[in-house]
Parts: sequence; structure tokens; C-alpha cells
Amino acid sequence: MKKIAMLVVAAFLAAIPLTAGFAVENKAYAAETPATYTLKVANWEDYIDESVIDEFEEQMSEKYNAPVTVQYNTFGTNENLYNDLKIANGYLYDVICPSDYMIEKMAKEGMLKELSLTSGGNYDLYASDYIKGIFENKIKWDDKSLADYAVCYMWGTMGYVYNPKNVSHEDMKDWTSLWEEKYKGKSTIKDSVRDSYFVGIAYAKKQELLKLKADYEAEIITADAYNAELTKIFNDTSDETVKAVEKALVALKKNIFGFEVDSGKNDIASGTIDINFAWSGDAVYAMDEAEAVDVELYYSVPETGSNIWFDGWCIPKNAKQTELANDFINFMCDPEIAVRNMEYIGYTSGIAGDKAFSIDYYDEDSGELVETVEYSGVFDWMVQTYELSETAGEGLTGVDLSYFFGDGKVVYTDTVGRQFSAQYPDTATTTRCVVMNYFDDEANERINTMWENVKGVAFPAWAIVLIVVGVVVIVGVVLLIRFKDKIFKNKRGGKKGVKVVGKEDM
Amino acid sequence: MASSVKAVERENYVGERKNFRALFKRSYLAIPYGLFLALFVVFPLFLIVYYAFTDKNGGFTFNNFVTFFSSSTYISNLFISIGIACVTTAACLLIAYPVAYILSRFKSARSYIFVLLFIAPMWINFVLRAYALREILNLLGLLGKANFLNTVIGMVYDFLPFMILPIYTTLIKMDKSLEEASADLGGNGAVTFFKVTLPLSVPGIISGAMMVFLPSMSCYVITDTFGNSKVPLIGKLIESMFGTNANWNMGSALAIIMLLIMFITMLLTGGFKGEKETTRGNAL
Repeated sequence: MKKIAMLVVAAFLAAIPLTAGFAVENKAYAAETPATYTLKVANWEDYIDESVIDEFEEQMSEKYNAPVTVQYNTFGTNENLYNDLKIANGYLYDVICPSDYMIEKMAKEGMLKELSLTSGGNYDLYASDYIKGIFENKIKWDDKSLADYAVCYMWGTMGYVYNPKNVSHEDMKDWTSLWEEKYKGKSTIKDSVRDSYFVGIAYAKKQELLKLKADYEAEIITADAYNAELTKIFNDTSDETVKAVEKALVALKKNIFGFEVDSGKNDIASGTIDINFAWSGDAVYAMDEAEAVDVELYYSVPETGSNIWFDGWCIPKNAKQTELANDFINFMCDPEIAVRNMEYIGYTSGIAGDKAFSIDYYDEDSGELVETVEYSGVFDWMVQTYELSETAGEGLTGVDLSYFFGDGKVVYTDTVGRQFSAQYPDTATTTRCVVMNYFDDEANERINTMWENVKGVAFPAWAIVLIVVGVVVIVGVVLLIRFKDKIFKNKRGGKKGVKVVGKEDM
Repeated sequence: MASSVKAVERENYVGERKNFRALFKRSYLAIPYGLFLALFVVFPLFLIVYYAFTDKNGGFTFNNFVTFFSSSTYISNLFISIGIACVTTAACLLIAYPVAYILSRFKSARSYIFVLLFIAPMWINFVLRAYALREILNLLGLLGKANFLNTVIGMVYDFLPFMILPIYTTLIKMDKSLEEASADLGGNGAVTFFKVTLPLSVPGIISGAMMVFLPSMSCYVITDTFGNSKVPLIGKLIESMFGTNANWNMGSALAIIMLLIMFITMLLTGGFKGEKETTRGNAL
């Protein structure tokens, strides 16, 4: 009997390394040798093709001639990341990937290291000039800019994903269609004040926005001036505006299906809703999902202006592996890696440059290699993936992407408004897209209170008084019943018996 | 002489034994739990109290509470949470009591299978169950339309086992001879149930109600999933205070207010009357 037990134990012990794989052994070994490197990365959930991390580890292990491991962590919101770093108040991560306004907040609070990017690095060589320009010139404070602290990872716009079977294309060019009775219970907005504030502004300031648009189209104002004016309007957090937005959103709440942050992309693909206020990358995901069940979804950035946002790699103040962190950022800016991540997550990389690479495509079910495709760079990848033409033709619409890929980069497509348009907005779209600034504490509080009022329900004063009185009466009655014996000194025969039982229990 | 030395030795020995016993009391076994309690319950509680009574710069203030009680949104939010919790508890009780009663009447061998049938859903991942129920509500055409109802359905679905179990345990532990005595004295089924069974199962009902009422006031995952985040819940408000609002002080004040409400509820339902009759039925 004992022998059998021993055998079972032995077999079990032998099986552990088999099931756990050799990774465990390697890691244990790595922990013992002094010259090992561990890079702690924090990124958004589902925001990377994890195979690129393995590749990074391999490359770096060669470069440093020592085992390099990446400890990959994820976070759900910018605020969670911020809280984690604040609570740790010391070393927690080497590389993080917050959004534009959070980078500004962290930088202002001295939580980030300034980046020292070498010229000739991947970002310098391959990042789009458009992205670099925004990081250097658009988001600035004091004598600093976003470019001092961050390197763009992914960026995108916000707009409506919709099902054209039940929603007209024309309506989706206008933010305020969501308020219409005919779309009652058919749309969602984000359960996050910063995102949904945009929709509220678009409703509250519709006339102003329309006038600006007309001015721009009549060439009374330049594209830059137009964008600057839009930025002012969409970032208006004055008392008056916040109140108007609150009114707009309270009215909208009655007309929408609900608030969401990640269930919307599935709900629109499954047909539960017809309109989903979404980030461009989620839009790509939803369109892909819907295609699998033969539903064609579209993405539209309404014409009165929208939000453009950026997520960037930063190095926290207390990072330990600064050099390795820089290597990581450089690695992520390699066109091949950028494309692999884009294919995996559907968002748009800030990398636009040309560098030849090839990608192996495997069959999802069998895992067999289907084909290897050669690309000469990010632009070529886009052209091949979306079957675009570089010459004009019948039935093709020209899309000007020169702002992103450089002069003369115009492509022609027969499908406008779908995945390609969501991932690479044209010049007209980006002209009307503005960055949402970092709000100071006071403005933040105003907006948060506004949001609480939108999300909550405020009973009128008399109802509150009534409820309080009701509760006090009920509590009073309950107390009276509970302690009536004590209050009225009512001696009943049964009491003694209970006491005896109590003593026995002790 | 020798005997007296022995007696002294013996006394010493007994004394040592006593010292030994005094040193290693049985209650020392509770030290690990005590440490756990201090580290993960008492210490965080102090932190919450500290944050609740300070402002962002760390200065002492009652402002967080003043803000709460002067905002009709916050107070309404609290009332809605309590309302949802009350409805959920009542619905759970209405469903759970007959179930527990029937289960407790089964002949012993088979009863476990039926109890298992009711408890087994608890072992399945909640997220999975929630999504399944969400699809069912969608098929029924309720999703997005009856948010309050959906929330209560979700809560009842999630918390029902917590109501069934304590009532069931009280009922099977109950002395059957009391019911027989009632019958012998001429009480019919209804009289026996209302005069004997129901009063004796009150401790089970109370402990079940506590386990449903308190969590359903703050379980905002359910309002997010079934109420499309349209139903305000105090738990969600606390979460947003620690998340997007970055106002830990207000969040802590809200937590303290919830703590007080729970304390009052316990007081009213007799949750603190440990050594008296309530303990006998407290199954969990």
C-alpha cells in the first residue's frame, strides 16, 4: 500500500515539470543568476500581440548576454494605473502606457522620467510626422510637451459604429441623432465621463459647431484655426457649459440602451443595439466580429468634430531598468512589431515608416502556415491588407493619407466607412478631431459631479423627507417590538426558560 | 523531611505545569487569525476612517459627510440602493423559504441531491452565469427596457443560494417533536407552521437576509450587466470615487456611511445578540 502511495507521489512530482513546461525551470534559474534583467511593463488589457514580447525577450537576452524577462501587467483604466503608481510610491513598473491627458497629469506631478530618445532610433526613423507634430506642438504645458515624456503607441478617433440596416448613413454624420425618438433604446454611450462629455458638448453646442464648420468649408478660416476653435469648444469646462451638457446627457440617458465600456462592441455585433459610441479600434473589432455572422457594420466620425486620442509609452520616475525600458520602447516602434500589434488589436499605430518585413499567417483552426506575405513597410501593409489601389479608378474613392504617411500618399478604395476608414481616418476627419485636454482639479470636480447627476437620480426634497420619516417610523416600530419586554417590564413565565437554555449553551 | 521535599517538588512541578498551561492557552491558537484580522480588517478600517475625516491635503474635516447629506443625488442613490436591497431580500425570501422547506422535508438520502441542485450553480463562474442570464433577458426583450427589474432578477439569481442555505439548515436542525406536539394538541398544518415552524426558523431567515441584503446594496457588477449601468448603486459611486474621481476621502466617507447602515441593520435584526437564541439557528 505504502509503495503504491510512494509511486503515485513520485509520478506526481515527475509530472510537475512536464506540465509546467521548461519556463518554470528557466525562471528559477534566472532568479539565481545575478546578471538577469526583468522589465516590468504595464499596458491596457488586450492591447498587444503577446508573441512580440517573447521576441523582445529573445533579442534582448542576446544583446545583454543575460536572460531578459518581461513581467507583463495590465490595467483597466488610466486612473487605476495612476492609483497603483501613487500607492506604490516607489518602484512598480519600468514602462507604462497611459493616455494623453494622464501622461500630462503624471508628468506635471513628477511621476515620469523625461525620455532620452536617440536619433536614428525606430521612433525617430519610422514614426509618422503627424504624430510627432502633435506630441511636440499640440499637447504642451509650461516649457514641456508630450514628446518629452512619451512615445506614441496607438492612437485613434471616437465615433459611431452602426448597423446601416436600421440606421441611416446620413443620421450618423450628426452626433445629435442619438437623441432622436426613432433610436430609442438602440444606442450606447461610454460609462466614462471624459468620453461621453464629448457627445454632450456636441449636442449642447450644435449651432456653434455648425457655424464653425460652415466657416471652414467657405474657407473663411484655415484648417488650423478650425481645429484650434474646435479644441476650445470641446474642452470648455465652464460652469455654464457643464450645466448644458448635464441637461443634454440627462435627456440622452432616457433615450439610450445603456452605458458601457466594453460590452458595447459585442452588443452591436450581436444586434442587441444598432449604434455604439466607440473608440476606432473597438469599431474595427466590432466590424470584424459582425462580418463573421454576415452583418455589415459601419463607422462614422460625425461631421461637427470628434475626439482624437493617443496612448504612449512612458517611463515612471522610479523605474529601475531605464536602459531596457528604452530598448522596449524602441522595439515597439519597429514597423514589423507595430503591424503585428495592429493586426492583433485593431487600433492604429503611430508608426508609419518603410522597412521591409514579412508576416507569417497561420490558419486559426489547424495552426498550419497558410502564407508568408512580404511588406515593404506600414503603408504597403495597409494597401495590401485593405486591398487598396494606388491609382484612381472607376467606382473608387480617393482617401488622402498624406498627413500621416507623407506627401503624395493617396489611396483609392471601394469601401468607405468600414475597417479601413476607422483605422486610417482621412485628412478631412483628422482636421475636425481634437485632443481632450487634461482638466485641473476644479474642472474635474465639476465634470464628475455633473456625471454623478447624470448617472444617478435625484429625488425631490419632499420625497427624501418622506422616505426618512418612513424609515424612522419603521425602525422605531421594529425597536419597540424587539425591546418591548424591557420597556414595559413585562414579566412573562417563558423568559426564565430561555435564560436557562442560554446558560447551558455556555 | 524527605516527604516534605517531595511535596515541595511536587508543588513546584504542578506550579510549572500551571505556568506552562498559563503560557500556552488554547486561545493562542487564535493568534494567526488575530494577526490577519489586525492587518487586513482593523488597519484598513483605520485608514478608511482617517480618509473619511480628512480632506485632500490631510486636514481634519467633516466636509465629506456634509457633502453627502446635502446632495440629493447622493441621498437618492443611497435610497435606491437600500430599495433594491430590500426588494431583492424580499424576493429571495419568498422564493427561498418554500424551497428550503420542501428540501428539509425530503427523506435524508435523497435530500442532498436536491440541495446540491440548488447549490451547484454557485460553483459556476459568476461572470459566465451573468452573461448567460443577460442573453436570456435579451431574448425576453427585457434588456435595456426594464432596468430595475433586470437588476433585481440578477441580484436574486446571484444571491438566492445564500438565502436557501441558512433557512434549510435551521429547518433540518429543528426538533420535529415540537411539530408533533402541536399536532397532538390539535393544531392543523397551517397553525403548526405559523405558530411553531416559522417562529423557530426566524434565526435562519435573519442570517439569510443579512447575507443577501448587505451585498446587494453594493454589488454594482449586476447593475452594470443587467441594468446597463443605468441603475445607480452606492457601490458604484464608491468605486468611481476611488477610480475616475480620484476622491478617496469622499469614497471613504461613503464607505463609512454604508458601514453604519450595515451596523444599524445588524442591530435591528439582532445580529449582535450572540449568546442568545439567535446563535442556535445561525447556520453560517
